Amino acid sequence: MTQKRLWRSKVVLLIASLVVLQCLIEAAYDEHSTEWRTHQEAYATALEEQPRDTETPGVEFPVELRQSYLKHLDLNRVDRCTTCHVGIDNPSFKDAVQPLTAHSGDLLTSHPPDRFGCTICHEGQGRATDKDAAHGHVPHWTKPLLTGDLTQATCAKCHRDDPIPGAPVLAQGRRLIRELGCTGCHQAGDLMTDHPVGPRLDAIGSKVSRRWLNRWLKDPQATLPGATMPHYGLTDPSANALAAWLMTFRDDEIESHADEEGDYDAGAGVYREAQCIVCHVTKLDYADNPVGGNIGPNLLQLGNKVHQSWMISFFRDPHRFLPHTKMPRFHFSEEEALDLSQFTYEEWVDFDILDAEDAAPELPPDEPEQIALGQRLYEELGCAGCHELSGTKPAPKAPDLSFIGSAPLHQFSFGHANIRRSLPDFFYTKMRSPELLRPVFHLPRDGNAAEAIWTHLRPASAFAGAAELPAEPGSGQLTAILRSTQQAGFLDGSLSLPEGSEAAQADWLAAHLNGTSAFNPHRMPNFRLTRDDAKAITVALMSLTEDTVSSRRYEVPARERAVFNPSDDFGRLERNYRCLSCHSIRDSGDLLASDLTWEGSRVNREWLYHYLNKPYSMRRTITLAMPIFHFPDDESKFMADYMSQVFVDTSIGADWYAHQNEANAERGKALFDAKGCIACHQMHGSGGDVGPSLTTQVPEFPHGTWVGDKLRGGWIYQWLKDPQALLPDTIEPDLNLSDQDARDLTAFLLTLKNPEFQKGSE
Amino acid sequence: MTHGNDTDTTITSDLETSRRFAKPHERRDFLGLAAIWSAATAVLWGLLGALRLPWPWALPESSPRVKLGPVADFANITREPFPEQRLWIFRDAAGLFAMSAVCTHLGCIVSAEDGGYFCPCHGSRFNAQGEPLSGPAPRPLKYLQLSVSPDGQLVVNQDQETEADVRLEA
Amino acid sequence: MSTENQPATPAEESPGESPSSEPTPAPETDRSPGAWGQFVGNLRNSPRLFRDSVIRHGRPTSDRAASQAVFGNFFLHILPTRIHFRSLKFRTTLGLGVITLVLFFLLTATGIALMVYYKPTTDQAYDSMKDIQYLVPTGRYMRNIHRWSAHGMVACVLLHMARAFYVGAYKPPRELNWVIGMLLFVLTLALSFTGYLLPWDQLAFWAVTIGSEIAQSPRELTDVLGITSWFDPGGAIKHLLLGSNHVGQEALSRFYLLHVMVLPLIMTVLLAVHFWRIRKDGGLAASSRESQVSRESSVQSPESGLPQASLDSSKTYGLMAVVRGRTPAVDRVMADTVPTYPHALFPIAALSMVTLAVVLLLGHHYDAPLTEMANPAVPENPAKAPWYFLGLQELVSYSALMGGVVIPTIVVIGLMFVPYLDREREDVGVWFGNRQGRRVCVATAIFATWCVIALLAFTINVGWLRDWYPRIPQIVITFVNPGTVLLAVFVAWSLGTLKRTNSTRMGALATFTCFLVAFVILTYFATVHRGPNWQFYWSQADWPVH
Repeated sequence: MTQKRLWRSKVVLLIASLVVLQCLIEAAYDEHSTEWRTHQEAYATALEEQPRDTETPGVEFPVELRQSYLKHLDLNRVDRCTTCHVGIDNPSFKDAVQPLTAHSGDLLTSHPPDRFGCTICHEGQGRATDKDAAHGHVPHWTKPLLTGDLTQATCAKCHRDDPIPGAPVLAQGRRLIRELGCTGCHQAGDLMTDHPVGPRLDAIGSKVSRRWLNRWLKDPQATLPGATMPHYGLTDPSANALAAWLMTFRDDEIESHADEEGDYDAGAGVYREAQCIVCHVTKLDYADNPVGGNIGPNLLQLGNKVHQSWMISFFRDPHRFLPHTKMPRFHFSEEEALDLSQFTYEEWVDFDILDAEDAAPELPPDEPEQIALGQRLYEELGCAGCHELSGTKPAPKAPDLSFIGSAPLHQFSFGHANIRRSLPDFFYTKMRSPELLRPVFHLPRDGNAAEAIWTHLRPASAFAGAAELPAEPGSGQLTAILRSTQQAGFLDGSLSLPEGSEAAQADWLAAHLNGTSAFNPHRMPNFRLTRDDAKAITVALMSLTEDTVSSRRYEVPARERAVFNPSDDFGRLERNYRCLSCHSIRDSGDLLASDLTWEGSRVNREWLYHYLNKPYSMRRTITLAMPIFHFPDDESKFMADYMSQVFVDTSIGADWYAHQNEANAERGKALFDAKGCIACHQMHGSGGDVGPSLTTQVPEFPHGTWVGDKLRGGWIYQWLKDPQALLPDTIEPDLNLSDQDARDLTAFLLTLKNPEFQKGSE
Repeated sequence: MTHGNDTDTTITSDLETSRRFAKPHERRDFLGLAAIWSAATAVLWGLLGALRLPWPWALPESSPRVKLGPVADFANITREPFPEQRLWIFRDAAGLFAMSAVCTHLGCIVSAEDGGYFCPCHGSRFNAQGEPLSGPAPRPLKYLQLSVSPDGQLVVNQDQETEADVRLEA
Repeated sequence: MSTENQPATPAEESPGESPSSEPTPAPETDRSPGAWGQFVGNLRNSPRLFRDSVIRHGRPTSDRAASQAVFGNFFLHILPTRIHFRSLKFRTTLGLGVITLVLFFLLTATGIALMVYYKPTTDQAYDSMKDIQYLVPTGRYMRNIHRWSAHGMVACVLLHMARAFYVGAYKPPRELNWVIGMLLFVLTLALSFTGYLLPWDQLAFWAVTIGSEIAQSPRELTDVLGITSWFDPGGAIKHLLLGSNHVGQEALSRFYLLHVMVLPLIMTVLLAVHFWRIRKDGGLAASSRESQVSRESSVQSPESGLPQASLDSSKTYGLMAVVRGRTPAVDRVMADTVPTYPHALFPIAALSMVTLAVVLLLGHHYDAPLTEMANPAVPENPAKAPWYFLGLQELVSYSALMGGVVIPTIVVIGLMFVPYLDREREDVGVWFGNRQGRRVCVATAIFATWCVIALLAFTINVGWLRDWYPRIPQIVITFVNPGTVLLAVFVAWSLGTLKRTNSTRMGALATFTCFLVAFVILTYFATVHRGPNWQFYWSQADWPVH
């Protein structure tokens, strides 16, 4: 017996030892045949096979673990990525197969791995040495690898500029966040705008037609393609209630213009002078493409949307109800405003829509409960985030986005969405398909199911004040809930509770409601973003992080920006006429029209005064120009004087003014011919129209001037010497003129003065 | 000499002859030997394998191979200091070479002076070729290996010495 | 003159020695070899001489030699030279003590290996764990082996304790060893708990946070009594553990100190005493049925008149002394024993190797968990203690003081007390004692299972005091909660069993079975059925999706 036991224990010892040995051998093998060794050996082989162009024997390539050890350089990390990505800085491996591929672009020149590592830009788990762990695609690593455009999110860790050069997707995302009005509800660090992004809604009841408002609230993008306002998924009753309440906001002044009629043809004349088409789409071409600018809204259905009385009021003073609009305050008289409104009201209307509205059944009158519901809906849906409206509460607070890029993953509710649990995936899905992230309502195991359903319905205001739930729990309560949700438009009216136990009925009801947005506690609407826009916003959100590097060795401070908003009279005039809607001054404004920063050094004061009164086009091929504002004389004089004296840089053309008597205009003419300037700049009717005409001959503008009237010598000289210094994107070629050549050319160009202008100028 | 059984009592021998308590067999115990030897091998293998533990696959420091900049930037230099890496890059007619600025006495940084080098710590002097002239320094200043990386940068290997006459033609 | 050439005296040479006498170096010339010759000869023989100095007696070929091999070896002489065949039966002990000891050695060895790289500061601990996994040769294995051995050791200690109890190995004279064993049990849990914090990940941080809150739970009582301001044992213990109000660098330093130095030292000392006591108490507990001689009497051998060795295993084993009475004489072998070499050494070696194999396989295939780096701002939900404390955590969910401090203390001290309360000598060494014992254990297991499950089902489906009386003072709940109810019921059952069977052993069996069943069921329950906010869920699939 004991012998048998002894024998048995020897056998067990033998077998166990062999198992241990086998384990140890496997372990040793695993440790030596790591992924990275294979990759490095492949790289070494590829290096040997490459043709060598120098005689120097190559430094041998040791197969070893490589790391960027940055614990002492403020970044506090160790990145072992270059252990597998061993060809990252070898340009001849641009087309190699991963992981040996070289880094794209030339970012490694400014961000060398031995000073930056890799994870500071690409995230991932730098300390790991196998692929999945290093890329962070393992549980419990919350910052997986960023690739492609997503990598731009991390630029903001060190770069404080906006926009960051080399990060266009990030810039686009940040711009979208501002433009779409996200900051109306969300805090977002330095992306806050100073005013809400949607129009003020005071007097909306006097402005828009009821049917238009109903359509708009139901689906803004269907009503106006490209609308910024997002989609709230309102049911018909909810949209109607909201519209009912909004329509109670009226204005007497506007309504005092009701029933007035103007002169259509006179209005057309006003329209032409005002050059609305410069900022608005006002017509379709032969192929039904929209024609016009996109600074203001598309006006083709203006007559379907607004009342004529409102137009009259608006044309007289656009800033009264829309203080942040880019539209200037034209000097329309009452008659001009009336005539223009007649023109627009009759011209820009879609009769098909009108006919459909007439054919539709009449809207029932608004009940007081509906109006009250509309107000509650307005507050609960957070409209105040984008729209100002007197007397309303501010929008409810949405999650703070200021550091959302570094928020812990567990704070994000993924629901049953079948997406990777990572921040970029969450943001992208939230932007593109927010309904996927809608949490599913689970019936609680105990307690009153009907009560639980009732308290979780959203928006609550849609149901509050509806029929009270009967007191006893049971099918009665469930039926009441079903009816309320049918009334509010969430469930189809033909549905009814199935036969069966109360629990089964509750399950049925919950399941059906889960399919709608009835349980959605989130007020965030659907912006119907394109893939690119959603990705850009994702990148921008990821860049809002706490994880910045504040060491002075790495931080890149923002460029100084000069914003133009003076508090003097010129500023007041600018705010009135909204020059910056088209022009740029320093770092403010738009790029549609010319930059005015150095206008005083560029043009003569007399010309400027003349032009402000009578703008004209610079090229034969373009019939549009700056709108005719009919400035009062003192204003145009003031603006001309101001710009001539303030928008000046004395260094521009200082060389010319010092040596202008050495200039020879005849020699300049010969140079003009020799250099072929006429190919782009027409003169006296012949030549090209690429650049501005040197002698303006546009039939629509008989008062045009010539180059010698307009431009100052110093500017012409500076321009000829180096056009891109004055206007970086110009296509005027830099001809490498000598100083004397430039002087001569300038002198010649200055001889081109329109005698009529010279006669009439002061 | 076996004295084993002299003091055994009868009781003991009775017990020992009983089948239950038979003495270990005299013949070679293959199973036992195999078991013991495989156990010993397994344990030894484990211990030896574990012995590699104190030598990690990478030391907690940056790589000794440092990129100093594009090779083109060194086209016209004569002597370029790199204080962070504690070395100079020189160019002469034959090419580029690197010399360490670490004094071979006790590791202070030497400074260039009077056509030679001088260590302020203990007064060692070196000539222009780095050979010690006076002072306690025992050996010449080290020359370090240079090479060119695939992306065209000059790379110095701070852990690799070369001869004083080796040049990199670049 | 060297002594090498003279024959060794009989006293120095062991019998049964294979001829390994040093060969006399053949002299080159006829003269007696001078010092140089001896030197050369010794140099040539040095490997064999070295081997013989280490293995002095060669392979034993007689019982006496076998005894000598064990007795004369520093590492082995804690074992007796002969072992009762019953001690070798696997059924007797299931080898649990050996397995636990082997795991402890593994833990020590891998622990030392890990200490080469682990850095006990809050900003470097987590990163050093990552480096151990990726940068250190064999690092991943060391860590995994360490983790699985730790869990294994806690489990084996529990099983070993159960085995010892059911076999009655706590009975006199083994009371003290049982107490030492309980202390070792507590130490094992402490070692596991202190080590749990060291990776400094979310799992560790929050588990220890919970533990420290439990430590502070006496405040539940002192607050009600209003004496916390001048008598605050809860706060004192928490600050002792954490060195602060929160788990941070201080806690890490203290836990590290405890884990690598203080607790292992105490453990080693207590282990040594534990083994010593086994020897002094006469080896492993054997059935008194097989021993015909009572403790006090001695029997003389019929033939020689020399005292026959008592077969009573409660006799102590003395060292080389010929005495009357209690201690058997030299060369008097006990009946039914076999030489330790090889009959015990091979099984021990085999068991050790099997343990090593299992741990290695586990370590190779299953990585020890490492969650995100500890973040005090982001609590885990649910934050669960290590598995061996989960049953406790369930009780803590009813009352922190009772579940976390009082009940465990009562259980540990109560178990420690059992040997002093149950001193019946019958059926020691037999599992469950006798048939009646088996019946008692089965009945108790069924009863305890029913009690625990019923109580859990009741609290989940119906609720407890606060659900019916929302304003009931906390002190009432402290004293009347499922934990205390269970404790009271078990005590009542055990005492009832004692009276019914008229046997303290039966009562003890009932007590221990109650504890074991409750431990297992509560641990299982808290592991599988408790989810976020410590709510009941049938499975993890039902947890609210996030």
